[in-house]
Amino acid sequence: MIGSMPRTSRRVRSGLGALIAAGFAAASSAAADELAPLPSHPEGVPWPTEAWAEAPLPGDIDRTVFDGAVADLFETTGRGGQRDTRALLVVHGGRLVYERYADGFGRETRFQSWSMAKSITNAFVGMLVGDGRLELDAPAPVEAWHGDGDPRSAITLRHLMQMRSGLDNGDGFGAEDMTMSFVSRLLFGEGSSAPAAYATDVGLAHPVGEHWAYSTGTSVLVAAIAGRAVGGGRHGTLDFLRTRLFDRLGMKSAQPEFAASGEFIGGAFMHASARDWARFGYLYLRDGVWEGERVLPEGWVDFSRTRGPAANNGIHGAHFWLNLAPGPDQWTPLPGAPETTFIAEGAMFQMIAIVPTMDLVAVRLGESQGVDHMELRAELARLLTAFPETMRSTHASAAGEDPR
Amino acid sequence: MMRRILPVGAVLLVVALGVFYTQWLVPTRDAVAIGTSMLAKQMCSCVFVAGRAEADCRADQFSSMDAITVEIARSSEIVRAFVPLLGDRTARYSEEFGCTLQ
Repeated sequence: MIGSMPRTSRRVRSGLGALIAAGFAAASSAAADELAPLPSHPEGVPWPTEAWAEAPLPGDIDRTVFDGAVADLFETTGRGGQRDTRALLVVHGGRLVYERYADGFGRETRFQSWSMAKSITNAFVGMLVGDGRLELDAPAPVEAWHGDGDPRSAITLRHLMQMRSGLDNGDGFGAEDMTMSFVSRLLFGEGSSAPAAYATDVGLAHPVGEHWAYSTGTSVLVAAIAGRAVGGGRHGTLDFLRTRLFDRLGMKSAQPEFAASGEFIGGAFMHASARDWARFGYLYLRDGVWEGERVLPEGWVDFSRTRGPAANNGIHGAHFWLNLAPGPDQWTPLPGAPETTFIAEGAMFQMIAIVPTMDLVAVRLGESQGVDHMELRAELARLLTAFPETMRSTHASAAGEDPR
Repeated sequence: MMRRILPVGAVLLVVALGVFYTQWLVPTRDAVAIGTSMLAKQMCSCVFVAGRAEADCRADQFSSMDAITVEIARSSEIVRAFVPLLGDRTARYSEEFGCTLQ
C-alpha cells in the first residue's frame, strides 16, 4: 500500500510506478499493515465501459438475508411518498447481479453525490500525482499559506487528503445549529460564491498532521489545488475529468458542479447515474486499473483505503471511509460487513461500498427522510453479509497507535 | 412628567430595536441566506441535472425550508429561492457545468 510496507498487491511494481509507490510509502506510518488484495477483473467478462455485463445473483449467497435486507432498504418513504432508497445495485465478479430502482427513478436518472464527490476528488488528485503534477508530501500549493512564519506552510497534500491538516474548517457536525456550521456557510452561505477561497482563509485549530476532522472545506480546497494543476477554471477541470476519468470508465452521465469562482465543488456536488457510480467504485475495486490501463497510479487505491495516522481517527483513509472500529465521534460505516470494505459516502446515505474480499461493489442512492442513518447502515451491511467472502479478510490500520 | 417619560421611552425603543436586530433579524437573515441558497441550488440540480419533477424535488428538501418560495424559469434555466425582505438567491443551469449559485 502507499501508506506502508510491505504491500500485498499482486501486481509487480516497475519503473515509474515503483518510484511513485515507494514515495507514497516513505512518509507513512512505520506500522506493519496488511491490506486485503484487490481482485483482478475476471477473464471473459467485458469491462463495463460500454455496458455492464449482467448475471443473476450467485447461487451461493444467502437469499433470505439478501431479500430481507433489500425489503428493509426499500421500505421507508419520505415526504411526498417517495421511497428513501431510490437505487440499489450490486456488482459481483465484474457483473451487475442486482439492480433495483424505486418508482420514478431508473438507469438514466442522475443521482447526486453529496460527499461522495470527495472520492471523485481523490481520483482527481491521484491522477495528477501519477502525472507528477502534484506531490503528496510537498507543502500544499496554496500561496496564502506561505508567508513568513505561517504555520500552515507545513500542511501537505497528504495531510489534506487524510483530513488531518489541523485547519479550523471541520464541518461542524454535532453542533447545536447545523444551519450555521462551517459546511453550511461554505456551500450555501458567505463562502458559496468562492468556496475554495473561503476554505483557504482559516487558521489552525490543531497542530498540523495530528488531528483528524471531517472537512468538506478541505475537499473543496483540494479540488481547487487539483484544478489549478490542470490550468484552472471550470473548462480545464471538466475537460481533465472527462478525458482522464469519466470517458475512460464510460461514465457518460457524470456531471460535476462548479462554484461561480470556477472550481469544482469537490466536497459535495457531482451527479451520475447509479450504473456510473458503480463504474467509479469498480475502478477502485480493480486497484485503479481499467481495461488493462492504469487510471490511478500504482498504490493510490491502497493509500486511499489506509487509515490516516491521526490519533482520533479510526475510519477515514484518504477521502474514502474504512469499515473499521471508529475513533471518538466516529462510527463504523457498515457494522458487521467485512473490515476490508472501503466506502464513498454522502449525506442522506449515498454510498458506494467496495468489498475486495467479496469481489463486490454495492451502490445505494436516495434519501433518508423516513429512516435513521444507523438503520440504513445496518441494512446495507446485512445485504453484504449475504455474500460469502472469497478471500482472506485482513485489514490493519496505518496509524502507529490504535485509538480504538 | 412627559419630559421624563419621552427620553425613557426612546431609550427603551432603541434597546428593543437593538435586541430585535441582533437577536432576531441578523440570525434570521443569516439562516434565510443559507436556506435560499441551498434550495436554489438543490432545486436547480434536481430539476435540470436529474430531470425530475418540481414537486418531487421539493418534497426532498428539508421541511424547515418550506416557507421559502421557489420560482423555476425553464426557458432561462434559472431557479430563484426567496423570502421577501429577508433573502434571495438564484442558481443557473448549464448543460456543461450543471447548476451554479449566482
